[in-house]
Amino acid sequence: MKYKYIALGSVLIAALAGSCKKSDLFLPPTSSISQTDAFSTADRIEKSSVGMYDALQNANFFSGRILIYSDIRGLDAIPNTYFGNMGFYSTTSSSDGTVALAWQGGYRTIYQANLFLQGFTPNASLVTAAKAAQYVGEAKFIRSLCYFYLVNLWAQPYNFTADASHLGVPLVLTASTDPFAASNQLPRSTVKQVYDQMESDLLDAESKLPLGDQAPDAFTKVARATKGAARALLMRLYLYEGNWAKANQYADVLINSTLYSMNSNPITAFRPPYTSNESIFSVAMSGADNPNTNNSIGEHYNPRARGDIAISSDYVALMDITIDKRFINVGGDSLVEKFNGAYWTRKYEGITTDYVPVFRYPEVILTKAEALAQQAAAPDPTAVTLLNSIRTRAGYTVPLAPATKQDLLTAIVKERRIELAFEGQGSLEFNRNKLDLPAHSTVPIQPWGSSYRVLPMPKYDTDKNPNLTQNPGY
Amino acid sequence: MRKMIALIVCVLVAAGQLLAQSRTINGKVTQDNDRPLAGASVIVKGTNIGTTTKDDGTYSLTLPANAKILIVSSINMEQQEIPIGGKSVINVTLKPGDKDLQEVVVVGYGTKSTRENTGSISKIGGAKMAAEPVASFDQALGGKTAGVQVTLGSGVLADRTAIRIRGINSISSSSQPLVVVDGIPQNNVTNLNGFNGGNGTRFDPLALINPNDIESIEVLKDAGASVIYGSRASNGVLLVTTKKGKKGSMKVNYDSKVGWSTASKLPPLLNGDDFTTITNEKGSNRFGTGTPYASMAQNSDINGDGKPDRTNWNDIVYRKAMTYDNSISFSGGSDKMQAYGSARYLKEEGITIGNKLTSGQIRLNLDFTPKTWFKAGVQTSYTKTLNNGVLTDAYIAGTTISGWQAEPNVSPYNPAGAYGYNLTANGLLGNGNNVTTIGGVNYLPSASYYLNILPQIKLQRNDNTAEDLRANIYGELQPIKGLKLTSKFGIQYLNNFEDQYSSPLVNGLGSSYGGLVQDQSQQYNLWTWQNYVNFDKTIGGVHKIGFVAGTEYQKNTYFSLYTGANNFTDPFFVNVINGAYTNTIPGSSTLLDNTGGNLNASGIISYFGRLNYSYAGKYFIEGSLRRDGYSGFGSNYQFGNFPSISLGWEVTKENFMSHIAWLDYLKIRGSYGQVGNSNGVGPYSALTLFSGAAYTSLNGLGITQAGNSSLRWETAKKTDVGFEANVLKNKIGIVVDYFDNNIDGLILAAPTLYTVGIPGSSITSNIGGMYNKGFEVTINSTPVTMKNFSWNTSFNFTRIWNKVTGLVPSNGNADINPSGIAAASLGKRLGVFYMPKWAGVDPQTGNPEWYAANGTIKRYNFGATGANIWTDDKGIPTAALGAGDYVYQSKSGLPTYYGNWDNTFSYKSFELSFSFSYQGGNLIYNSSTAGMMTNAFSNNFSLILQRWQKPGDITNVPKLWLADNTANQASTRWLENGDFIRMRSITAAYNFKKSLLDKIGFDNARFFVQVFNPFVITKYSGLDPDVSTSGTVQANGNISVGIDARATPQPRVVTLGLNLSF
Repeated sequence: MKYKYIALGSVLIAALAGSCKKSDLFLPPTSSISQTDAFSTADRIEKSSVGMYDALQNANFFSGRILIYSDIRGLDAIPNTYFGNMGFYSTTSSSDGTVALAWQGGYRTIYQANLFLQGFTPNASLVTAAKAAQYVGEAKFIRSLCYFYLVNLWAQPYNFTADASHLGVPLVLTASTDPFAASNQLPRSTVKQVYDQMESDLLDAESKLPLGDQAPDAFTKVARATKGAARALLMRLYLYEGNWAKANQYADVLINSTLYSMNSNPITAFRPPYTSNESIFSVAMSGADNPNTNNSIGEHYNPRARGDIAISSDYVALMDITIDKRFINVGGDSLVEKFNGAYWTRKYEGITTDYVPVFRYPEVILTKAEALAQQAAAPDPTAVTLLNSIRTRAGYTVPLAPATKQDLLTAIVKERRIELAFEGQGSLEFNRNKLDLPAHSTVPIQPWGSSYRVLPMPKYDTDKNPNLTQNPGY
Repeated sequence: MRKMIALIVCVLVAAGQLLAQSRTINGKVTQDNDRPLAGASVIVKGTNIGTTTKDDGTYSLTLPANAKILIVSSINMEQQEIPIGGKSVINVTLKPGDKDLQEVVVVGYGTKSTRENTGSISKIGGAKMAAEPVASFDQALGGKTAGVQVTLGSGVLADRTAIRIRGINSISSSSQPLVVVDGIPQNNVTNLNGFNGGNGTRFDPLALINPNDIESIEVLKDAGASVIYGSRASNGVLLVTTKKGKKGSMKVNYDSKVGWSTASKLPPLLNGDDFTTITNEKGSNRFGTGTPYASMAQNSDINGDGKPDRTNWNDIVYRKAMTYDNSISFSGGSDKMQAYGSARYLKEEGITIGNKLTSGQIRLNLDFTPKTWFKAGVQTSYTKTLNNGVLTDAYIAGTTISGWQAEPNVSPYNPAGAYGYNLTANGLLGNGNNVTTIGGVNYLPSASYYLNILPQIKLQRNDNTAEDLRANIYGELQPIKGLKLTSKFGIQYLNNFEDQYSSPLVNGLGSSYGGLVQDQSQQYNLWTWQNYVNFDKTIGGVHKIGFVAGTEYQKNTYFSLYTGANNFTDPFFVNVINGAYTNTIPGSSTLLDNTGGNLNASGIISYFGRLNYSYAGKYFIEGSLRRDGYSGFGSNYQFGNFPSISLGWEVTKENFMSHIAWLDYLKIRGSYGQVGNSNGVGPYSALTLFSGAAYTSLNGLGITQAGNSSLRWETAKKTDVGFEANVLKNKIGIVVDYFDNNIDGLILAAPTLYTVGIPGSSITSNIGGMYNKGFEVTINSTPVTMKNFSWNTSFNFTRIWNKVTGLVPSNGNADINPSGIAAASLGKRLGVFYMPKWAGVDPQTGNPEWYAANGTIKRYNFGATGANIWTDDKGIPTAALGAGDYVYQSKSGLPTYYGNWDNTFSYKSFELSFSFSYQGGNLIYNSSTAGMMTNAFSNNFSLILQRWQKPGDITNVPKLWLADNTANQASTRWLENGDFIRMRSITAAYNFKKSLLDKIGFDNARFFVQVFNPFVITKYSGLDPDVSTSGTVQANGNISVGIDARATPQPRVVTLGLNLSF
C-alpha cells in the first residue's frame, strides 16, 4: 500500500504544480514600445518627431477635413449633410458629431506635439543641436497650425473686437499626465492670447527650423516644417490681425528667400509629386497612410469617388471661364469640371494620395498685395502688379487697373477667393473681411458677427468643463 | 508531459496489488416490464470491479473473495444494492427513477447530481438547439431557460447574437457569457469579420459548432455555479458538452431537413406612382408648383419593355430562400471504448439575395478505458464554412440603405448597360429621366446615392471562409476509489479568410481603384492545459465530502494578415492573380499599399478549488475559489481572487415534512460570491502604447493609447436565493430564484476632455457601477398523462430591475451616450432613451412641433427665414430645438421582463409542439422609419402618404419639404413600445410505429413539419421588435440597445424534416 500513496502523492504534486512559467504566458506586446523607449535613442527621437506629422494627418483635422469645414461654411463649396450640420449654420448644434470630431482632432494633434516636447526635452542631449532645434521648431509649428484653425472656426475673427479680447479657445500647451485632473478644465483664452501664443511659438520655430534649401529632397522641403512654413503662418496671422506692415515684412522674407515661385500652370501644384516650388507647406499623403476612404480630401471632392462636395456656380461666376486656366482645360487637365450636372473642383483628384495644401506661394503674393494696398491711400502700384501677376498666370491678358484703394482691395479679395478656393480659407475670408455670407444652397444669409458664424463648443466638453464658455446662440 | 508518464507507471505498479482470489457470478437485469436492460452497470460495492449488461440484459462477473454487496444501476433507473451471500445467479429488476433528480449536471471541472447541486444551473438538451433553423446554436438559446435573453442582430445569416444572462452586466465591456466547450474556455471573439471594424458582413463563430453534436448546455447563472471560472464568470457561463458514445449501444442517426425561408415582414416601400407623387410634392411644396422641382420624379423606360419602369425593390433584394441540412452520426461503445462520430453538410440561403452559408462539419469523440483506473480520450472537430455575406445596414451600398431608398420608377436592368444592369458611368444606379440635380444642387442624400443593389451584390463578393479546428486530449487516473486525476490539453485553431471584391463597374472602392480585391486572414490560436484532482468520499454513511483542485493555463495568439490588389487588367479578373493588376490608382503611377497585419498574444494562469460537504443528503455546503492571472490586466492588478459560498437544504428529507403528501421534493439553496468580467480587456488594453506612426514614406512613432496600470476585471458581487420543488406526484416542477447582481469597477472608457487630446479621448478605467436584481420562475409540468395522450408544458418568466450606480466621478458622472439618444446615466436604467418630446404637427401649417424643456412648444417653420425659422405655437420666435430640450424617457431599450412558454402534445404516434417567447418593458427607437421618412430625393416608407397636405389635416407626418430633414431628427416621434409575443415555432411530428420499425430494424423514424417564427403580436410598427440594432454586440452595444437601425427582417422558415436511427 505504501507504493499507492507514493504514487498518489506524486500525482497530486504533478497535477497542481504541473507547470507553465508566467514568463511563457505573459509576453510583452509585439505591436508597441513604451513611452520611455520612444525617446531613448537619436533614431527613435527622429521617429517620434515623424509621429507628430502622422498625428497631423488626423482623419478629422488636417487630413483635409478642417480645410473642407472652412470651405463648406463659405460660399464656394456646397454644404452636404455628410458632414453633419457643419455647413448649415443655424442647424448646427453643440451636440453635432462632426463639429465634436473636428475639435477633438485638433486637440489630439496638439497633444502629440506637446507630448513630443515633453518626451524629448529631457533627452535632447541624445541628438545634435541642429536636430534638437528642428524638432522643437516642428512641434511648435504644428501646434500653432492647429490653433490657427481652432481659433478661427470656434471663435469670432481677430478683428471682431478692437483688442481681440473676445473669447478664443483653451490654450493647452502641455501633455497632461493626469487626464482627469481638474487642472485640465481650462477656460477659453482670448483670441488675442491665442494669437500671441501662436506668434511666440512661430517666432521660436522660425529661428529653429531649417530653411528648407538644404532639404535632402523636395518632399522634405514641402512636407516637413521649414522656416518658410513658419513664416507663411506668421504672415497669415499678421494679415488676419490687420498688422499690414508685419504681413508685408513676412511676405517679403518669403519672396526674397527665392526658394518659392509660381508654376506656369495653376494645375501643377495639385498634381503628383505635389512638391513644386509653389508649395510652401502641405500635409503629405500617400497610398500607404491616407486617412481613410471616407476622410481623404480627394474622396470628398472627386465626383468619381465619394463626391460629397460639388462647387457652386457663384464660384464659377468669379472667373472668365473662357480664359481662366483655373477653369478651362489645359493640356487635358483642368481644375474645374462639370459632371452629372454640377461643377466639381479637380484640385484633388488622386482620391487617397493628394497632399493637403496649407501654404502656396500665390498666397504670399496676394498677402503682400493686400498689405501694401491697405497701407496706401491710393491704389498701390506694386500691389496692382502683384495682383496682375496672379491673373496673368491664370491666362488673363488684360491687366486690372483699379481706380480706388477699395476697388483694389475688392479685386485682391476676389482673386484670393478664386486662387485659394477649396484650400481651407473659404469662410475665414468672409470672417476676417467683415463680410456677410449671402444666402446659398439651403443656408439663409449669415450676417457678419452673428452667433452662428462660429462653431459651438462641443457639449461633450462643456459638460465636463464648467470653465468652458459656450458660444452665444448654442 | 514527461512527469505524467512517470506517474502513470507508478500507478500501474500500485494497481497490480488488486489481483486476488475470485469466483464468478451470472445474472440478468430487466426493466419493470421484463424487458432486458442493456448497458446497466453491475459493480461490487467498495471496489472498482464491475461490468455492464449485454444487449440481452445478462452479465457475468468475477468476484473477489471479499465481495459482499452488488450495486446495480442504470441511467434514469433507481439504483439497487443486493447482498451476494452464497448466490451464483442474481437477477435484478430496476424501477424507473425520478428522471429530473437523478440527472447529472455538468459543472466546471466535474459533474454533480441535480439533487446535490447548490448553484443556479439550467440544463438545456442539445436536441432543443438542433430543432431550430438558425445558423448558430446560441441564436436558439433564447427563451430556452429562465434568465437567458438572446437578441438577434438581424435576419442576415450568422449575424452576431447578443446573449444576456440575467441582464446586461457591463456597460462598455462585453456582456457575452463565457463559452466553455467540453471543458475548454473559448476565446471571446464574437465576430470573425474584420473589414470595416467588422461591420460589413458580421459572422458569429459559434455558427461553426454543429448543434447536432451538442449533448447539453448548462447555463451557470449565479456565483455559486460560475465562480470556478473566476475573472470571466460575471456574465454567466455556457458549458457546452458534446456527445459521447454510450456503452452497450450502437446507433446510427440520420437527420435531414429542407427549409424555405421568407422575410417575416417586408419594409413598406412606396410604389412607383406614390413615389412620383410624394417626390414632386416635396419639390413643389418648397419651390412652387410651376418650378422644375415640382416634376423631379419622371417616368423612364430603362429596361426597354416599352412601359414606364416600376420596380418593387423588395422583390429584388429579398427572396424565398432554401436550406438543406443533412447530418449523420454514429455512436456506441463497449466497456472499454466509446465513440461518437458525426458529419454535417449545410447549405443555407438567407432571405437577402447573395446571402448564403455552406458548411461542412465533422467530429470524432473517443473515450478509451483500458483499465478500471485509467481512462483517456479525445474530442476532435473540424468545420469549414463559407459565408457569402451581404452589406446591409452599415453602408450606402447596403441592401437596407440603397435597396430601400432607390427610386421605384427606375429599373435595375438596362439591356444596353454593362452585364445588362442599369449603371451609370461611375457605377451608380442610373436615375433615368428623374431630375436629381437642379441649379447645381444635388437632391440625392449625397452624390454617392444610389447603388444598384443587384450588380452591387451579383458582381461583387463579401465572403468569409472560416475554419475551426478543435482537438482535446485527456487522461484520467483513478488510483483509489473516489479520487480522479485529470490532465487535459486542448487546442482551438480558428481561422477566418475574408475575401472582398469590389467591381470597377460599381460605385465605391471598385470604381475608384479600377477593381479592388481585399483579402484578410485572421487566426486565433488557443491552447489550454488543465490539471485537476477530483475527490469524493462518504464517511460513516452520512458525511459526504468532495473537492476539486487544479490549475489551468491558456495562451491565446491572434495573427492577421491583409493584402489586396487593385486596378485590374479587365473586370474578368476578380481575384489576386499574378500580373493581372497594377496596384496603382487608375490613371496615375501612385502605388497603393494594400498590405497590413497584426499580432498579439495573451495568457491566463489560473488556480482553482472547490470543497463541498453534505450531511445525510439533506444539508449541503460548498465553497469555491479561483485565482486568475491575465496578462492583459494592468501591472498593479495582474491576479485576482474570486470566492463563493453556497448552501442547500433538502427540506423534504426532514421527518417533519413527511406528512405533507403533495410536496414530493423541496430544496432551498443560496449562494454568494464575487466573480469577474474581463471580456473587453484586450491583450494590451492596460498599456500606454507607442506604435508605428508613419508619415508617407517616413517611419514614425506615436502614441496610440494612453494606458492605465490599474486596469483589471469588473467585479460582480452576486447573491442568489432560490428553491426547487416538485409537487403533486412530481407532476409539477418549480424553480424560483431571486438574484441580486451588484457590479462595481465597471470598465468604462472614461471620457476625458477633448482638449486633453489623448488618443480616443478616453482611458479605460474601473470606475462604473450598476446592479441587476430580479427573479426567475420556471414551471415544468405534465398536466395530462394518459395511455395515448400526454401534454407537457414548460413556462418561464424573468423580471429584471437595472440601475446604473456609478459612472465617471471625475467627469461629474456625465452621461455616456454614444448614439446621442440612449445613455448610461447615473441612477437610471442602462440605455435610457434621451431625446426631445415630439408634440405633433400643426394642423394649420403642417409644421412639426416639439416640446421645449420648459414645456412650451417649439415649432419649425418650413421655408421661414431668420428669426422666424423657430417659433412657439403662437408664432413668437424661439431658440432652435437643441441639446437643452433633450429629456430622459422612462424606459430604455432593455426589456424588463421576458420568458417563454413551450407545449408538447402527444397522441399515439403524433406530436404537436409549439413555443411562444415574449418580452417587454422596453422601448424601441425606430431609426429605420426615421431614416425612411427623408425629404431627400429618395423612396420612403408608406407612412409618408399620411403627410399633411392642407390646413385642417390632422396627422403626425409634417408637410413635405425637399431636402430638409429637420422634422425627422431624433425625438419621441420615433420611440415605440417594444413589447411582443412571438410564436417562436410550431412543429407537427409523426413517429413511425415501433412494430413497423422493428420489422425493418430501425429504432426510430420521425417525420416533422415546422414553422419557425410564424407570427409576432406587437404594437411595434417596424419590421421586427427583436431586431434591435446592428450595434447590439458592438462596442457600446450595451448602451445603444433597442435602436432599430435598418436591420434586415427576420425570416419565417418552413422546415420538413426526417430523422432516422437504427
